[in-house]
Amino acid sequence: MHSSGLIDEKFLVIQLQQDDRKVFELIFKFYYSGLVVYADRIIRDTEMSEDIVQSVFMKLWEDRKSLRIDTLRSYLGAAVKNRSIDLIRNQQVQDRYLEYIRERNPEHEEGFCNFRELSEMINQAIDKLPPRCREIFLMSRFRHLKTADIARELKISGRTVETQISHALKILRIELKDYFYLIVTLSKLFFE
Amino acid sequence: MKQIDEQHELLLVRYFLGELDDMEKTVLDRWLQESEENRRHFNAVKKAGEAISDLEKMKAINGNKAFQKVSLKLFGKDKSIVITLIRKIAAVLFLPLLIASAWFYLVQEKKSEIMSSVYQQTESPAGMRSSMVLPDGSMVWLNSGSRIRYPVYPGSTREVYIEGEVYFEVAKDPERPFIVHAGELNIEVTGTIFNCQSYPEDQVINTVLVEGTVKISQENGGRPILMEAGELVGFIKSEGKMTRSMTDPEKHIAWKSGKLMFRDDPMDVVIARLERWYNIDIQVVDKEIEHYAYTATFENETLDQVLRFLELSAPISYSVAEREQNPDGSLGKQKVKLYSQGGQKVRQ
Repeated sequence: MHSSGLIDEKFLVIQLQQDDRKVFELIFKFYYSGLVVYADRIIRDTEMSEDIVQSVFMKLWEDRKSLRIDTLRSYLGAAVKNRSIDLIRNQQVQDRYLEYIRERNPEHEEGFCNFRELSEMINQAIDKLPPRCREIFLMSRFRHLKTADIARELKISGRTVETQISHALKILRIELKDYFYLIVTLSKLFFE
Repeated sequence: MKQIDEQHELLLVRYFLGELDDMEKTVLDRWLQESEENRRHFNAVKKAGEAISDLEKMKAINGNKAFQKVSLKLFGKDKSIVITLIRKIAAVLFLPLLIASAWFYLVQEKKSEIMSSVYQQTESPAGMRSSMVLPDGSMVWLNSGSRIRYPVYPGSTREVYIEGEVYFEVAKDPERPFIVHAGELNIEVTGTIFNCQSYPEDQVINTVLVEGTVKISQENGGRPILMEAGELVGFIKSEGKMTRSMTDPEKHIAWKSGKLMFRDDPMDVVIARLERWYNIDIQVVDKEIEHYAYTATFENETLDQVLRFLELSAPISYSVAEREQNPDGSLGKQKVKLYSQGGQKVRQ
């Protein structure tokens, strides 16, 4: 699969500083869902995550003239992460969390994927599967069919479905190992 | 990494699918306690699963609605500012209003250009098939030598441009129709499953509807056709006309599962499919072959196996020529010649 088409963030930042609302909309829609999922990993509350990301974008617009931004990505990522961590009330959990991400990857603290990057990564991985295996995998993980339902629909045994998914999984766990979320779920911090 | 035995591999699969029962959970836990290696395997599986559920979560998040909310807070009612402005101008003179709206229109045009120009193109090279999830959550499969151009932003329009054969499972969104531009045709849907075959070199654009509803119209007007499930609409490019018939959708979409399926199809259709599937040239030496109809299903067969099967099941024989070298040193397409078995005897 060949893909092309990148966005020049410098151009976007310049347009933004010239009050271009359309560009603001574009940036918003490009990063919004990825950032919400990113915040959701930290605070485990989708609605609140949406509020956080929206307020970060409002701040971006209000401060646009004075911002010295290298990339929108690291600015947005850092802002969302910091606001999310602030929301964690339990100080002990917050400390452990901060320590955890420092240990994991001090250089890319603001790592998150947006929809396009993630879907591309997953598409490329799925593309590597043999056709039959891919079909079964898509039915299971994207159409949310139960193993038994897939077996019935394709007139094969449940074991065959599981074997095919296990093939898929062997490939996917190599292909998706670079998915760079750094956030540990809070439950893990609580119970470890 | 060391291989995992089949039993634990299946446990990982069932964990991944969320289908573990309590008993299996205990077994898996015990296995995870055993070694760091096992935990690494488990974490890789978990990560793959989380990547996919994150993608699904992102799909479910409505960026449009959120943006409306934010822009209302930041800009107030965007349009009303412009309208009051225009009204003020209109109060002075009618002519300036015209100019102002023309200007406003032009500026808006230019800005939406930035948004809609962020398109991405993906293609499946000749002889290969691929599939992907579009930013709006729709799934597409690209057959050999096909391409699709789609907007990068899930929030913008859902208009895609295709060449070649593409199978669509369109995500439901009644508010934003999904429009496929295929040659001179526009195919409009909200959430549905269909296949569209539109290779530039073909005389006909074929659309088969598997599920849902689809509206097909010609770019230059004419009455649109509302398709029903199980229907095949063929657009004959040279005549600018559409034909409708019922069909077995399965045979048109089998390709996406790696199957080549023919159901009483004339030889020219079979040949065109084989040429694309294997990226080869087929030459029919004895024209009477073209009258044969053919029924077969191939799954993951090599070209050689398919040709041999063809030879066994129909009065056809074939020869495969050496691949010629192009001037630039690359190899040309494989060339296959088909003979009628009767015809060949006459020549001998």
